[in-house]
Amino acid sequence: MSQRILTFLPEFLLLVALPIMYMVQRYRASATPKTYFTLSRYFLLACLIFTIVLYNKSGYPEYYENSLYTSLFKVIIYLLAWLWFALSCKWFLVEDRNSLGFYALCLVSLAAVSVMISSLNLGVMAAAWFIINLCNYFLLRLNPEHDENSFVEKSYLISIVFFGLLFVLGCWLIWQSCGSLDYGNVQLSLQHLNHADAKSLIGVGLVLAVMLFSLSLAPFHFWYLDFVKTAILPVSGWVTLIPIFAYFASLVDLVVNMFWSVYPQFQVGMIAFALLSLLIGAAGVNGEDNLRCYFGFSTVFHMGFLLISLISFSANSVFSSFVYLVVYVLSMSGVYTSLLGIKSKGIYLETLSAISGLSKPKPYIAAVLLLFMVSLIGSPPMLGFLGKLSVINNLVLEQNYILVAAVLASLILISNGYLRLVKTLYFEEVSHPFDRTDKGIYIFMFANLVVVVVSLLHPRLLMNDFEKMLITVF
Amino acid sequence: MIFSRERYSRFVSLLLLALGGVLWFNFYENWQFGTSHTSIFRIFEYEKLSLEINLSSTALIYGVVFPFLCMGILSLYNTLTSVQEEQRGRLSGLLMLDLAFLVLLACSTNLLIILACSSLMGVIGLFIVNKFESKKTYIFYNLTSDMALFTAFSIVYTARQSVDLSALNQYAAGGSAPQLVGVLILLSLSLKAGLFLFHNQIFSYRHLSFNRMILLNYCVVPAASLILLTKMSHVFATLEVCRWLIYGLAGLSMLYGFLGALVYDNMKEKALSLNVLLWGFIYGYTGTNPQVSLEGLSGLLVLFYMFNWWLQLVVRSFSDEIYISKMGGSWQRLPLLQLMGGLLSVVLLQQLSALSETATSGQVWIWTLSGSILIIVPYLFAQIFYGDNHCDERVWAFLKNPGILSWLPFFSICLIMLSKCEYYSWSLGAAVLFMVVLLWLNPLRFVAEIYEKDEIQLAEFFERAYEYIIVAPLNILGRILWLTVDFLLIERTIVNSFSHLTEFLIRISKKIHTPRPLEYIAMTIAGLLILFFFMQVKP
Amino acid sequence: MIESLSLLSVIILLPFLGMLFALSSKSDESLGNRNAFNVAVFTVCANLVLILRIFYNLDISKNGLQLVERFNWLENPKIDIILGADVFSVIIIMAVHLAFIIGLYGIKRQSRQKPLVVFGLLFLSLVTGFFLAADIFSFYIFFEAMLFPLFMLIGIYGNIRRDGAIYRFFLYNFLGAAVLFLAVIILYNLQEGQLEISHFSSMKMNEKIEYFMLTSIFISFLSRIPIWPFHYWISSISSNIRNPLVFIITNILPLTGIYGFMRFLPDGMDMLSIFYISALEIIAVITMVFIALIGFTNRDAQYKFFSYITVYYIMYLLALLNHDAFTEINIAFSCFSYLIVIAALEFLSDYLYFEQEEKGLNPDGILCSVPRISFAYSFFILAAVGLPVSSLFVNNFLIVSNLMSKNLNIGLLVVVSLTLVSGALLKNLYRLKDRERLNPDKPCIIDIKRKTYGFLIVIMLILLMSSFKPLWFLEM
Repeated sequence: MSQRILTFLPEFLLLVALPIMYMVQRYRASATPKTYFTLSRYFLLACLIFTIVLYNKSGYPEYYENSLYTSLFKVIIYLLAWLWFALSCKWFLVEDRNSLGFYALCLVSLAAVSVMISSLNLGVMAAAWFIINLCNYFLLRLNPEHDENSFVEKSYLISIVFFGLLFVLGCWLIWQSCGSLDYGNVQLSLQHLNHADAKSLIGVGLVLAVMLFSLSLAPFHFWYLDFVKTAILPVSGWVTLIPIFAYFASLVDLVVNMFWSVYPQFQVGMIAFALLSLLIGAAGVNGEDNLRCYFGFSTVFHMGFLLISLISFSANSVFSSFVYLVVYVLSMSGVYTSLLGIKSKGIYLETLSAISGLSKPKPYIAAVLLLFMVSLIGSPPMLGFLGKLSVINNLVLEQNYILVAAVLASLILISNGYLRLVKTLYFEEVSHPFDRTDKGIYIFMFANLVVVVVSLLHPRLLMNDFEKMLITVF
Repeated sequence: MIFSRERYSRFVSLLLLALGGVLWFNFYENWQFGTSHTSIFRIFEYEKLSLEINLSSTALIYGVVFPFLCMGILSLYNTLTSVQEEQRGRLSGLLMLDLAFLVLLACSTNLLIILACSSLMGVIGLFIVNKFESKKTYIFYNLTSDMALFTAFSIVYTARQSVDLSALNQYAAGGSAPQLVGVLILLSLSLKAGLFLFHNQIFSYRHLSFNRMILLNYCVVPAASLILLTKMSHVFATLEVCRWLIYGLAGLSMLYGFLGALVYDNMKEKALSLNVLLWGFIYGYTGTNPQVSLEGLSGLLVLFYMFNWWLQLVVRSFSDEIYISKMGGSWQRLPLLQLMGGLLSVVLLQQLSALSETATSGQVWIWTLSGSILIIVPYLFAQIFYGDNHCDERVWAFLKNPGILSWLPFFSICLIMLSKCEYYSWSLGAAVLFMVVLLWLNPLRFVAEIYEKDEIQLAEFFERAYEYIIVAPLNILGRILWLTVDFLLIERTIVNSFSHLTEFLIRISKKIHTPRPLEYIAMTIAGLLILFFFMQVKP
Repeated sequence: MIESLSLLSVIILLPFLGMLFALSSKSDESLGNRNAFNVAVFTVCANLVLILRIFYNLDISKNGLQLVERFNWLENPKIDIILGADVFSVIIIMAVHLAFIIGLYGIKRQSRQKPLVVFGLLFLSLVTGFFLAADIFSFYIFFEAMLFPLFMLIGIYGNIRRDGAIYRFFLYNFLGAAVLFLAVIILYNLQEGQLEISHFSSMKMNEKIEYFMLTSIFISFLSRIPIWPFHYWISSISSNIRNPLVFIITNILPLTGIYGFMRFLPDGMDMLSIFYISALEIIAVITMVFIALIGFTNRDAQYKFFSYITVYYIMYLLALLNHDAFTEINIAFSCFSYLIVIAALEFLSDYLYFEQEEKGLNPDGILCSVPRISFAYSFFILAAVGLPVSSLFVNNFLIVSNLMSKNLNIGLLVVVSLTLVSGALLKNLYRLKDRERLNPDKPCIIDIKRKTYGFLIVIMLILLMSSFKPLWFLEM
């Protein structure tokens, strides 16, 4: 029994941090934002170590399983979370605000993410999903200018409740048809069920709809854009970088190990979602002036790209979309790091026009943004090229030439949008005085670049070793 | 260039003249003794092409080059003694360089070296031409000429895979487009020589000093054209179309030259017309007859050069008065100048008579030239020395005969040529008598009235014609193409449609996403509909 | 990744390293902000020495790629980066470096040199890699990657109408790159592995694939060459840019399209290839005459220059379509002088432009008071029009002959276009030398310094030497 419980140690450690943080808040008078970061960091480190140690141990295999596949995602998530915690700490220090809420909610969210990735039961997954989104809601409320009647907060809450209900309804329908919510059982049942069985199909459709909502694929992207625009910068970055990995891993797991027999019936719909996201994302990037929305649309686009690649859910497509996801997240983390370094008179700049001519006073930040833009376009020699190569190669292998054409056309469109930012940074005159940038930001940017360069020069880790881990999902 | 400073310029010029003199003597000796040298420098060798500088010389080549060398030396001398020339050293240097290329051109049997030499002579000419108006015309005529030659040689190389001169002759005899090649070469040579229709270039030299004008006419591009003509006459002889074209161009050039010499008031234009007359004659006489070489015409060339020189001396005697209509009545004040002109005319007629006597064909050209000279020379004498005095007071007061530095070499050359020719016959005496009669009667005095007519004197018929026929249509076509294809089709249609498409998509994307409850609900429903609408229910 | 590092990789990496040094250099006022500039000059000179070394290692009598270097890069998909060199590629790289050095001299007086040098060196590194790429993936990578520094250079130094220029640049080039990318991936999958460029032309494909491949190749490479309807971007950029280095770099780009055609054109001519090549020939010739005409009539000196560049590139392209090794090497030799000449002319034109802007002068007769520039400018114009002072003379003769051997009409139209653009250049030269239109009341411009003049004399000597023997330096 104790051995079985031990497998939950990483998640448990994340949650243990909460009361300690509370006690620090209560009893330590000189607690600063850094204090909570330090605490979170240690617990996260411990969690990371135990995740690696227990990478293939499963206490309750009917609900929850650790494997190379899940551990890969978890390790990446924890590393990213660690990075983001550190960067967020800078923000809290500058703003001189209490970071307890942020770190506490993030740790809870991380625990839920971990559970979601490893879950083998739809019910567990739904619960984890709800916790993650609830945490997101409370993170959204960390905005100092937040208003109880704010449309964004309310609509987000309503949306997650609505989609949560859809998730539950979906689970219920599946349970009605298959008599179980366990992955293996549902898969077996779906294989033997009549393909026209409406209940199970609607159930599967609803669950997939929730996943698409979570990945902010158009037209379910509405919440995401308003969320990143309204939330404080650390929260926007968190939502952009962290949960996506969990949703991706869960979607793959769901389709491959549960809905495989009925998935082909949804494939066209998924393609429609992907194409719509490509179109709306690319068009949005071309027209948006708010930096957070700009990158929000960019995320919508990249999620569309990811789904296009993933569409067949073959080993190759999962691998290529994973590469794309890693590349995307690395680039986005670089972008958010840069955004943390751009301030004017103590205020973080958030519009495209506000950062015009940045290359002159802040050449290094502008250069990093430039490199990540090029990477996001997928242009060689940047890392983004590997992602693009991987996805297009997979589509060509599947002889999906129409999709290839659509993807390339949308890439040209979004490139035009990204180049708008480059133009603003480099070709326009300075419109604001910029504040001094913290050295830590530079260090993080440099570290990010090093990861990118190493991945580029030595892509075997990304392209070969990860592949071996990923195929364990099948 | 090295001695570009003014104080060294006369010294450098003298030095170069001395060097030229030594070279001239050497050439003369070799020509007379029929010495031949072989010396070939290989520049490079490609897989299918080798280029060499061939300086192998035969007596024939010496003969061809000799008159040009003579004229070159005279030009060097003129440059040295000319009061008006400001850059003596530079001009002499350029002239020496030009002569070097001329020699190489005459020696070479390699089409590429021929092309290179003729182009480089063009370039040297470009540096000699020091007035913008002349340069502009010069450069376009030469460019077209070189490109025509380039094209013709390219076609020959394509067909024969050889750049030897013999390949050109073979091609003319049996190539796939010999007439095209022939016409291109003829076009090139006509442009260089300034034959009728292409004479604008020659006439644009009127803006230059007399010395430079003569030099350019006899030592630079037209000289290259004549040497090329001797090399290409086989081609023209083989091709009927070229033959007729040469006859036409030469005949018209002679007519134009003759009329120009009478009609133009400007002495430089008169000189240039005489040159056009001469080029017309040479083309008509030798162009289609490979048997006739320039060697036989060397005396004539030098004498026409001297005629130009004499006209220059006339202008100088009249204190640089350029218009013949402002001369006249000076026969008593300028006896030496008259004597020089008279002697030169006699020598010229002697040369023509001798040529007529020895020529086996082309008599009609010789007679035409002789006839023209017989009419033009007395007419000029009458205008310059006789009749009423039209000079203004200042010019009249400063009228002076040429100095010793001019008349001594002038007379020496005339006398040497007179004695060398050794041709004295009744026809020469009759011609001289005819000239004297014409001078006395002056039947063409009415032509002088044309000097007053600006519409003729200042008209640039051919320049305008080319402007209307070639340049203006090119300009209009270029403009139309720019407006329709570049601007309307590409800029306004292709590029703008992409940018409009982007703007349209942006508008849609903005409309889709507005933070309003209704949009949220609509999009949620739309998403669910998409998912279930595309769901393929299998039976 | 790297198993061995040899000369080819070093000449790609050296400008890249130079770029990093330039990027980290201090803009020291006491040195006249020259740190980045000096780094660039040193880097390019060092690379030129290495390029010479490569020439000594090459067997110039041999066809095909030599000194091949291979690096394992990706495992899935399995991609190796292969580099190789032949006389064509190395001589072009050398010319690009020389043109680059001339461009660097052109920016010497400018105040904001650092971004120019940084992006310039990056471009140099990538373009060198492009000419050395021996497999389809590395070819594509360099093909697209070089757009990025160019985009930045055009954007930063592209003058007043830059927005439009950048937009067109982006539209055409990224479209071309996207199409090539797809073609490369399809080829890769068709071949089931890495494909060396040299094997492409002899590859067997079914009709559909061949159709697609030819279409892709044509679109992607043509998008770089100023051929209708792709010519507009380069014309609008060329007429806007007033920076010699950027202008030179921009005008090296069409060469990459031409090089692409050279490497990718199929060996055997089936019906499909014949159709494509004939269509291309027609479009190319029409464009050539059209641009030559506009260049001849347009008063803008930069447009004249652009039309000259375009006509030459189209001539090279037309000659390359004949797929003849002898012509290819002639194109390389001709291109060597051509690149140097356009770089030198642009350098001098920009110098004159800025002097004239500074002093509020008219361009007419501006050369009359500056003998050094006047001589250098005249020399380079004469070289540009094909007079025997550079390798353009003999090599153009051979190229045109080759064109005429295939189609006399095309050859003649090429000559007409060459005449028109040469005329346009000369017209411009004599506008600048028109002493009569010079306003004596206005101040004169300052002549170039002795050092710069000396540098130009060296360049002239290089051109003159190349007119005698294109590979003269191998015999030193």
